[in-house]
Amino acid sequence: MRFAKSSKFWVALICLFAVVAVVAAGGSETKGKFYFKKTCKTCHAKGAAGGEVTPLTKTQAQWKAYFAAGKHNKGADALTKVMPADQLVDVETFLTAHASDSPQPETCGG
Amino acid sequence: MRKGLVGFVAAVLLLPLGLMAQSNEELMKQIELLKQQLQTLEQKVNNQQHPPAQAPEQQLKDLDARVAKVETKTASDNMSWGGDLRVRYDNQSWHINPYMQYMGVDPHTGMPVVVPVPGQDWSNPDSWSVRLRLKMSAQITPNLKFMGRLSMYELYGGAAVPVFNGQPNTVASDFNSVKIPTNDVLHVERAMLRYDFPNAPFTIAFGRMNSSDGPPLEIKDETERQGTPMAIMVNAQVDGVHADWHMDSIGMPDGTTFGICAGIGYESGFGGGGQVKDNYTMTPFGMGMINGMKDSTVAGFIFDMPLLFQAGSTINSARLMIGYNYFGDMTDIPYGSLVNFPIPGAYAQASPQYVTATKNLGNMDQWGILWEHTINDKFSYFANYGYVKSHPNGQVSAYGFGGLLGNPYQSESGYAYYLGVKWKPIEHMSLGLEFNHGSPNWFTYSPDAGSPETKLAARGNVWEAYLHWIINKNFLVKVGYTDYDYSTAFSGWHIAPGPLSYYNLDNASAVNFYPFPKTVRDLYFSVEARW
Repeated sequence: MRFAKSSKFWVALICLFAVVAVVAAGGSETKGKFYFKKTCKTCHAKGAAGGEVTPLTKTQAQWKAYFAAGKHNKGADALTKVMPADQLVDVETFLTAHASDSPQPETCGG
Repeated sequence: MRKGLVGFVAAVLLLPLGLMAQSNEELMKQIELLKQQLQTLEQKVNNQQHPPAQAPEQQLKDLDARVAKVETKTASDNMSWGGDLRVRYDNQSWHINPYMQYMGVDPHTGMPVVVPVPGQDWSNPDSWSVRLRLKMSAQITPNLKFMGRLSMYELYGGAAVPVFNGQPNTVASDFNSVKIPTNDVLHVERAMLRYDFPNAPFTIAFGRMNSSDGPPLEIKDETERQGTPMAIMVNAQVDGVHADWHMDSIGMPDGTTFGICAGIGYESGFGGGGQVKDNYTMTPFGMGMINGMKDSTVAGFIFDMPLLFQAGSTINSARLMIGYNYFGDMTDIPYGSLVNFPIPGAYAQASPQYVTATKNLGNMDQWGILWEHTINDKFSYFANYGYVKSHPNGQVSAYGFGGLLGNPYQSESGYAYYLGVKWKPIEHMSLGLEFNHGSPNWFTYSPDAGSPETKLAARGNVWEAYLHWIINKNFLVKVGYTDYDYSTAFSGWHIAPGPLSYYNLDNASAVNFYPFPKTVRDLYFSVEARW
């Protein structure tokens, strides 16, 4: 009897989180990191023409605002001119997940 | 009636002619006045809709005042804070096979006295814990950074030091204080300074290092990487120095490093016995001499190469790590450890005692290699191998717990491997399966062995399956099940009273000092948030 009550609780909890999991959706961090390095870093590396840009350059909110505005090159171009929209979603996911106010990797080398 | 109406219309039509005749000049003045009034009104409306722009100089002045306030606030906030909180439920059941309990030595015959103990089942169906970790960082100069972490790991109704049951996690030491659920004390888990050499591809770090929860545990934990060494080699608080050579400067893949590290695990010169001649200390087995002890040291290297590549239509993230550690002049137990010894008897209470290292037992080599690979964020797997070999010096612990890996005279070796897969069928859900095996002589530096989450020190087989709901990257719910099947006693210990082949847990005639579990089953549930 006790087990039955307990199992109902667990089933309800699983259903709740399953619904939450299905409803939410987003891009891929791994893909975003790859596209960021492949495309963005060609101009935004240290010493490059566009100035260095890393995920730490902005906060999560700032990255979200940047991608919502969808502008590049100081507002002159649309971001979609730089890479396709689906890749932009992945890059936004990567940059937001590693923004200056996100949890960072912790190693001795930092 | 009709005549009256015609007369009124004629008067209205002829009135302007009358006014015109009265004064054309006065009318023009009135129109001019009305124009001025209209302009004034328009100006007022415009001012309300578009206030007059300030002069650029004034704007800059105002902006500067506002930025100065923000700068002052930022400058006085010397520390950036982050952290995580986890509430975890564990339901554990233990089984202990029949064994022979060591009771001491018969004073008449000099022979050891043992009594048979039947098999037992223990359970702990409702264990709750709270773990709080506060992360700190400060950019002191452009090249110098402070990183730290304060941690509390509290067991609901927990004790500062649990009663010793033969597991390393019932010995409180400086290396495991935040890895074992105890009470609400906040410990300094990490505190280090990192210096980036300007114009050179090197960094160096000093202090209490980021040396726990390293790869590949981040895959199961759904976190960023938490430590430098592989968890199968070192998973504890370690004090020392670490230097990295960033090998991407010579064309290696981005993020590749070769690091060397060194640290001290037992300090004999201050508070130990190294400076005192004929220094005896009380031990449970009588007086032990600890004079002339040397520091315990650790030195090693680690090659760490992350990879990011495209293969066909998939984007892949991978990591190769190779590591080595040399443990020099290892002691029998950590210095200044607190142990709560069980005292047998009907009314006896457990007796907490500080114990200290009594002997340097020799050296040990440790190797590890790891490959971890994530494909498209959907599927991850890893394979990890560890190897250890002892070089004893003939010494044994004054506490009666023998020499390195149970053999003070000859080298012994052990190995372990750790395999795991994780699949994300949908973005916010993970399913994982892991297995690790440790040989009877396996040892890894994990002084919290025996805690609910510490499985890599196990001598035997461990299976773990888990299901994670990643509600948000920084908010997770986890459910998992871990099944331990130990082959040999003293998991997590580098010492044993005799050769470890004597302590096979399937052997009912094996003599054990404590009731080591044969199997442990742990069903857990946790809620975690990070910020």
